[in-house]
Amino acid sequence: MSSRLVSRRTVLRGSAVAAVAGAVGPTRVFATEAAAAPALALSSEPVLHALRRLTYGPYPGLVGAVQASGVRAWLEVQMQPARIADANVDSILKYQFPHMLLTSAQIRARYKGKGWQAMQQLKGATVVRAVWSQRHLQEVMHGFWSDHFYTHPSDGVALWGKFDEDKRLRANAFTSFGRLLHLSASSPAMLSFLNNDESSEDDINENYGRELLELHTVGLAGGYTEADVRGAALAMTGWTYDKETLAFKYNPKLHYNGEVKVLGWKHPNIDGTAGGVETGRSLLDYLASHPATARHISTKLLRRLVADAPPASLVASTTAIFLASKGSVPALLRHIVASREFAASTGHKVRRPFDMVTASVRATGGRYRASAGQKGAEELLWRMAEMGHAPFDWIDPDGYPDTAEAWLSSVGVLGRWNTSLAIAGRWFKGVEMKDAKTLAGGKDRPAKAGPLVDSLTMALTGQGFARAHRNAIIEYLDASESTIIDDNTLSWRGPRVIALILASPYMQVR
Amino acid sequence: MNSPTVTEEFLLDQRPDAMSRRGLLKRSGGVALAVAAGSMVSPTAAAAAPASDRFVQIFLRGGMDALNAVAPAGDPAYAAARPGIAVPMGALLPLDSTFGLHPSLGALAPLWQAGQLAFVHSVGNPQGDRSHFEAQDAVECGTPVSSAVRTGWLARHLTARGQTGAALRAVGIGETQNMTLAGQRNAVTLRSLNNFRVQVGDKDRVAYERAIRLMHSGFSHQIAGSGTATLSALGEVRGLLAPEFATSPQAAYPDSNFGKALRNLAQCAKGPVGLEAGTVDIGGWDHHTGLGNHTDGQLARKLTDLAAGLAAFRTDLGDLWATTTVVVVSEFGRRVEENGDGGVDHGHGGLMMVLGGGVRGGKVYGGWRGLATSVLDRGDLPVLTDWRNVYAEIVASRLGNGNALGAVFPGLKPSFLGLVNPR
Repeated sequence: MSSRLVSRRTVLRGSAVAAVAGAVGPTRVFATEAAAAPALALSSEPVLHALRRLTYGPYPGLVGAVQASGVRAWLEVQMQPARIADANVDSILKYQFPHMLLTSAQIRARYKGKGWQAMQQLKGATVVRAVWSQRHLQEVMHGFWSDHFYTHPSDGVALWGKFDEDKRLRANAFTSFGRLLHLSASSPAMLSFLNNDESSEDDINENYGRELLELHTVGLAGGYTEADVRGAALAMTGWTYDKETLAFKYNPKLHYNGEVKVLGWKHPNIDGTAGGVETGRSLLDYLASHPATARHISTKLLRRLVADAPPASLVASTTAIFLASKGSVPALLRHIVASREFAASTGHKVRRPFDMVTASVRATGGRYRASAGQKGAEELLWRMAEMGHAPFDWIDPDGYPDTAEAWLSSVGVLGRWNTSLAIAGRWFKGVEMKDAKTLAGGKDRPAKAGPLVDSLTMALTGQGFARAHRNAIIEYLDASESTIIDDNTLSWRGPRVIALILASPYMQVR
Repeated sequence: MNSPTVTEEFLLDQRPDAMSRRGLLKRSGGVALAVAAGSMVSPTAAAAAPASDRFVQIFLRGGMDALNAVAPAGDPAYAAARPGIAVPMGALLPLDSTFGLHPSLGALAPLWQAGQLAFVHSVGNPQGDRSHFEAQDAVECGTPVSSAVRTGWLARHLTARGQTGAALRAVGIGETQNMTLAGQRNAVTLRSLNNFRVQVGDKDRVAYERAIRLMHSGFSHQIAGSGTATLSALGEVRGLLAPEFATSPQAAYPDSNFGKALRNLAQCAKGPVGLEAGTVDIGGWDHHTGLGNHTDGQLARKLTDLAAGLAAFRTDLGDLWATTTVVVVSEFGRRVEENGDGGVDHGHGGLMMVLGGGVRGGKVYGGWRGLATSVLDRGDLPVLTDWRNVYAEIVASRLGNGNALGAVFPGLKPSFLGLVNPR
């Protein structure tokens, strides 16, 4: 797309929204709604829309359950994941990925020299949870925090520490931003990945201090200077880990003593022997409640859940909620999901490759084959890696990008189409998808091409397609509306039809 | 313009379907494009842009050892610093009074003799550090310090030249998009031309792609444009598999990933697809251990592959070589002194190679100052030439974009070495 044009429009739109704060009608939230050409006919049915944003993909059983309970009630339950039974995932993890239930230190003891194998299992377990967990929103938020406080498990403690860090990010997904920031800042994986473990009074390494400001808290718009970066790095000296236990450890010998300043914060920081932890915590508390942080985190969360370029009105109101609630994750989610901007955002996100795979497997009713061990996860991982989006493969500290622009290169789009063919073609040994006949209703499936296509699009995407797109599938079947499609033809051509539906914008866009 | 070939832009505009392909791409922007298309992408705008070479960047990931590739054999400090791995004077192919070429780069000797290969020594990022990650980022983004503005310099160059509507204007061969092209709309990344296809049989392909095309039509959304652009690229790539663009029988590409990548890139260059920029990555240059000597070892093997690939590429391109410029770059050079494991650790100043029909070759550029401790930067070759100046000269003199240097390399005060002849 022409990013130049769209971004200019967004800027204009944004200023208009700011000028008439609150007075913008519901149909004027997004600039594209003024388009001359019709929008994609993606269903804006509230439950479907919410599930496309708050889970790794809707499927018929889930849609039905949420339609019964209502989105708001479902959201409240999802934000208390401990109350949700997750027997299917528990069982897959217990029998296929038992070591992923161990601590970092235990995993290192077992896999020393084979870190790659251990990490492969963490990636696999991540995919399993995303596809099969009933704690849908916890997985989505885990993915969000995992990208935000990103560590690349290249080797050493950045790799071994990742297992503990990952568990903590998941367990704290619904706490507060401040708590997550403290968790990340004391995570050995992070301290190793961004070299805080090498930073000392004599030889300052600014890597963590810089990313703490630029990526984790106030952001580039936060108005900090190189002196602030240095101040943050000085304040955090001594935050490291115990090499044996892989637990956080404060090392006073590395700590800088003397006044430190970052933006509007300063600390005498005189007694490094005991006080270095206190200095760092004080800085983290300051940053966690900074207005620039509130805006930065709100914008990112909205980019994940609402639109690549979230409306200025919603950024402003979410930032206010962040500040008022001290960064409470449930408060932010309640506000966003209840907003009119959220309701009006249908189609404003493109699924990233990871989500595209999970959503397709969920839509086709994929079942994990216990007999295949870890293979089921590996097959899905391989597809994600082909499209450049397997968990934790991103090298940079900024986490995977979350705008459509980053994922719609030709090779990226082609990867989606070929992945759709693989899933629809049931090429996997470890995951069993439903076939076309089952998806279309089994014995009672419609016989005629038109209704048959409708039942398949409904089963896979929860909606019928626009006439032209529906006709494209019927035409692909060499059929017309009322041509009878017998079982033989369906078993032969069904996989390609399912692939077309999965590859269609109705599945790729959310 | 004295080159024997017609420029890509001109070719494109002569094609009967050029307008319709443009139309497809235009639609991709959705919403606003109908209004803006006329002013933004006028059919004559591309033809009016100054002529440009094809530009190919080859990135050696890991930090190529400049000192063994183009060795300052005339300096006794060289052999002294590297008792186990220095290339002996007698084994080097002499380049000038100071430097000799690693024998594994011997396949490049004819290009050197023809004056179409130049080296720039002690080149790099003056503000660069010694981490792979940051250094590669800086080289590719064209900014001395890695910043949050993450577009590649080559993408900015193409953007500044304006759209051409070509489906294969910028092609990266590899697994993921090269950062140098980050931000370039519709830059195509592909592993190989043969694998760039929808995985359905030939019999079903037309019907299947037609259905996909219809599904991406009739509405305005970013994905509609990306889908149709991908279908166009698929069509272009199929066209490139025609016999007329096949590899020249004289071109002896090595049977390596690099050889295959250049073979594919040559096919793109020969076909009427509007190729302006290509990128290829070769990994495996981080030789902390076992760098080897002049006959065997990791470096010799990598250099052999590099030289054989480049030589075959030149042969394969034939007349197109006159309007092709190739740059070989790495994120940094390596330490002067050999380490305890028969390798060399991360360094600072490195080596760039510039090859092509318009290169003033047969010369080592860069202002060599020797290996005295006082010259070195913490034990490494100093950076005497800002790497952006190598690119900037090519952008100005060979890629027809001298007016846009400020946008391509923000903050750079250009200073040219005289590496290439102006087109």
